[in-house]
Amino acid sequence: MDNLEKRKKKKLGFKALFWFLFILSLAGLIYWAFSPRPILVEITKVTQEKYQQTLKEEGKTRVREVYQVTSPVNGNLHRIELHPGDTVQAGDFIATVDWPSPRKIQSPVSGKILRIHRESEGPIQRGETILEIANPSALEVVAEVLTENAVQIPAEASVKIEDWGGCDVLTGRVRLVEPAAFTKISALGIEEQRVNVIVDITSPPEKCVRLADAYRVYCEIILFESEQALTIPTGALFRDAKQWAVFQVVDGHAKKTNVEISRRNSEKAMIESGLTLGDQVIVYPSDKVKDGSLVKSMF
Amino acid sequence: MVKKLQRKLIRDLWRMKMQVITIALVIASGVGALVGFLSTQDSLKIAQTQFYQRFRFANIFGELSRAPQSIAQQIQNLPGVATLETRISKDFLLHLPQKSYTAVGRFISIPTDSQPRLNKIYLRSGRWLDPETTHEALVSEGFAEANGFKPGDKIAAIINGKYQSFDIVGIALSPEYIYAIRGDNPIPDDRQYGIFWTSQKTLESALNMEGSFNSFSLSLGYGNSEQALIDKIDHLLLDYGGLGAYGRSDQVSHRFISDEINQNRVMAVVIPFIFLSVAAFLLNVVMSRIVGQQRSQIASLKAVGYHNKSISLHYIKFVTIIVFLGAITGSGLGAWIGIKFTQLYGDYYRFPNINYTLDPKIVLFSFLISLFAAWFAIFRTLKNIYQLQPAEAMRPPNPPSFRQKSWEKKYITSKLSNKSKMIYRNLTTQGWKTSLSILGMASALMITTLGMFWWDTIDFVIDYEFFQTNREDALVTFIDRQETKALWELEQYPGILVSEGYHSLPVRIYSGHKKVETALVGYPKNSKIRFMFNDKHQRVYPSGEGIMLSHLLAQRLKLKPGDWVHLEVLEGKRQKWFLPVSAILYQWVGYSAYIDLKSLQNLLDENSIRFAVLKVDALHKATLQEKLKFIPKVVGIHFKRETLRSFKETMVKFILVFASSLTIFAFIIAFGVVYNSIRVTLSEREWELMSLRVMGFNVKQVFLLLTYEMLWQIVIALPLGWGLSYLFAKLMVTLMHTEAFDIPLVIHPKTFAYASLVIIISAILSSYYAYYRLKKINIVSALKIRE
Repeated sequence: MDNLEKRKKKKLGFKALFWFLFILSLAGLIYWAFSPRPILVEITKVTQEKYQQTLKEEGKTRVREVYQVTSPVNGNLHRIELHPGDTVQAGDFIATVDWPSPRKIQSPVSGKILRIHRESEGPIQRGETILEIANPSALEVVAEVLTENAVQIPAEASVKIEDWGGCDVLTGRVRLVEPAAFTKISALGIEEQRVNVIVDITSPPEKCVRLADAYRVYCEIILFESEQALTIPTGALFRDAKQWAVFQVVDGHAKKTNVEISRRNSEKAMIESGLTLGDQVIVYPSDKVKDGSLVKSMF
Repeated sequence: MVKKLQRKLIRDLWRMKMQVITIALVIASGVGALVGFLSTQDSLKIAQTQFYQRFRFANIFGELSRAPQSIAQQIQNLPGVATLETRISKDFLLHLPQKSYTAVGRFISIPTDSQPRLNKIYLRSGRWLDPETTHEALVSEGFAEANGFKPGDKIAAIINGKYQSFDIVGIALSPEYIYAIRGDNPIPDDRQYGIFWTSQKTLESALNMEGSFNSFSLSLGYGNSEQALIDKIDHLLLDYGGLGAYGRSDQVSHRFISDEINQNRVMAVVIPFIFLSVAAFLLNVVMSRIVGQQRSQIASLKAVGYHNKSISLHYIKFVTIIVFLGAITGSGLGAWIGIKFTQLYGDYYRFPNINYTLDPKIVLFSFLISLFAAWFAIFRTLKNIYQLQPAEAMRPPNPPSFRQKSWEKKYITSKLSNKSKMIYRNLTTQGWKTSLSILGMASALMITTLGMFWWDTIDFVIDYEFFQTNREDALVTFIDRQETKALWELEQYPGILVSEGYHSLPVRIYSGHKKVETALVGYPKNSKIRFMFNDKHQRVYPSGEGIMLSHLLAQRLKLKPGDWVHLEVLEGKRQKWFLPVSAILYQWVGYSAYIDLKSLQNLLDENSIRFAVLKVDALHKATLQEKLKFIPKVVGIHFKRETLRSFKETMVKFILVFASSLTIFAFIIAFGVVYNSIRVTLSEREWELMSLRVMGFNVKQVFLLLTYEMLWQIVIALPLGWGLSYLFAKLMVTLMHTEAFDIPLVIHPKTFAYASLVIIISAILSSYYAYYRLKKINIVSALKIRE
């Protein structure tokens, strides 16, 4: 083969290579331009953790036993020298009423003066309350609970008492759900039926020494607890016809998976079937996410 | 003599009919864009100005807790106050038993015996209020239409906890509510917010405000300072709970409509101008090549005895006719677009009427630009030809010299085959022509992208606003501050999967001498439903008492993290706080400030929330909607689906109609550019190409030669076009930046691909036509010309 032919062959080879590279890069560019971009989503894992179904209600503290001291006669009350907070012993003289002659009234129990109803001297009627005595550290909490929720409270349910002003979260136990409910207007203005739920404070008294009668607390009554429950954030759930579903993330793609939920609260849902520990799910999927979409974590 | 030229003119026009048509269409697109958008703009501006003038839109507005009429007299006496109008204004929840949503009505008092002196009401239908009757009302048209109310219907509002029925006696419009939105939410929802004008007596007795007022507006006397007057009024109303007087620029409806008009101005002027420039540029290039190609004909004409003047006139006529055709078509097209677009605005903005006006100056202007571009091209080319000796001019131009530099010879041409050498030579020797041709195609690609990228941007904006930041399914607003336990109560409703409580207060933020009224929103520290992002798309968490500002607000107040600002709460106890800025958030619309919810509650000394966001169980959505409607303390229920739909039908529709018309114009111009480029090349090189035929190349081979040249031009034009697209798109988005909107620049690579495809397809179609022509050219007659 002489020079001319060799050169021709080289030129041909070069040209072919050039065009091949050109087509390749063009194809690559087109492919890149049209390839779907992953949708940014929030992804979390299915975890095994403690799940609690709770009921949150506002509550008020209440001393367990209040002793109202009333006037035994229609007479003249002497000025009460005691003040709320004063300690009295059982048998101490706490008030004096004249009729016909001064009668001294004794304290029925040891405790502290809770409230003074009548301080100044003056006429008093038989039966009129003078003051209240109680043991202020024997506190219980009263929460007004919707009747529909009250029926779900298991016997001796644990209660978390918080936001009462102190640092610690106190513990309590439901002692009683009262047998009679009453009507109340809710915070949002709806008429409802509520029933008193009485909660004993089970924390050691040193922790709640500053709590007194009629203080506001927030109760979280535990209706159900599971120590090792398979859970996902409730934000991952959505309806697929009548069933629950989530978007699982498998190999960078979204996969619509039906799940069965046994319980759910505002934060987590307990998985009955459909997912296993460690599976990844999309939380608050956008409209763009469909079965098979390419997704990527936004964090 | 002239008659023969006339015949040449007609014959030339007919012979080049494809080119004439495509060039005229290109001009029509440029003119159409300019005429259409600018005339719409004008119509909108005129409608606004007329409405304001005829219905005495006030200059200064203000709200306060309450003040006796004697204070009104004091305000009236302030220097600069021309007319003062006081009134009672209050928002009430409306009772809409047939609807699944809640609505709020703003009730405003008006005189019963006459129109108010300022902010007059336009009565669309029905009658004015009867002085003898109470509880009659005029309803805003938007609300009435959206909910199907007409004069004669009744509507109930919840006033002081009781249902109060009102008779609707008329449908009305007001310059204060051309754009009816409530608070900071920029998306209007006519279904859930309406304005009600009722008698002073009715509101006075409903609110126990006999002899008092809580809202006012006034018109400014000529030549008086607005700010000075506002300061005086604020001082006067300090004891009456004055919330701060403000001018038109802060009046909600006016602010949005002015912003929109300004934004549209950019879209209406800049973009069509770019289009028209590209069209004119193309015109220039093509005309000069067409005339240049007729060089020998012109020289022959001169030799025969025609004067330069008559020849020039001939070409001027030629070009003018084409431009004229284009301008007429374009104006017609533009007027049609303008009418449609104006109608769209009419549905969206509540004007009494919005008439389409076409200022003939616009048509004239665009016509003249195109004409001058064409004339300039002709004169330049003709001048070059006239300068030559007739004999020389009659000969075809010398083939351009192909002098290679040594490096060119060594590295490039030696490696190329003969055919490739031809292509290379053609591309490089007439560098100007090639560059212009490439630039033309790149510009065509650029304008196509400018029309198409809007879809990407809107896609991003919707995704960001509705799915990345505010991820809730529903928003529930309470009538006033509620305790946190209201949230627990809400959680009990079937159908609510997740709920989160937030707070929101109207505040005034001071920075230096600037102040802005906005909302301070309290976010739970580890919010699950709503996210906040900074401009790097990193999640921002509230921290302590630090406030986070949307970047638009930060820009307006010139603040950065670490700065401290004064805030004044504009309700309740009117607290004043001094807080640090902890972060800047990215938001494309609105300028709110954000703070940690708990810290806000501490500052307020109350455990309150103002609204809740919910994730809803789709299965129980209908039941939930019904239940939520009947909660007394719930004043607003907004489902995201509806808000998104409303958003798509209003703001998005506008942008997409605009973008669609731009895209169509761009397609036409792109095709015109590519086609003409190929067509003119064919004419210019007819002799060359036919020589090749004679030498033995068949049609296909000659065609391929041309095609490869074009291919190379496209290969260079594409990246250039992408670069230009990005630059101009960035320019457009920057120009459209207003105080309240900052639309981001988002172009998906797909869009670049599609725009490139438009150019490529135009090239393919044009080359089909070129092949067809190549086949048709009579070799003998083509070669004869060179005698």
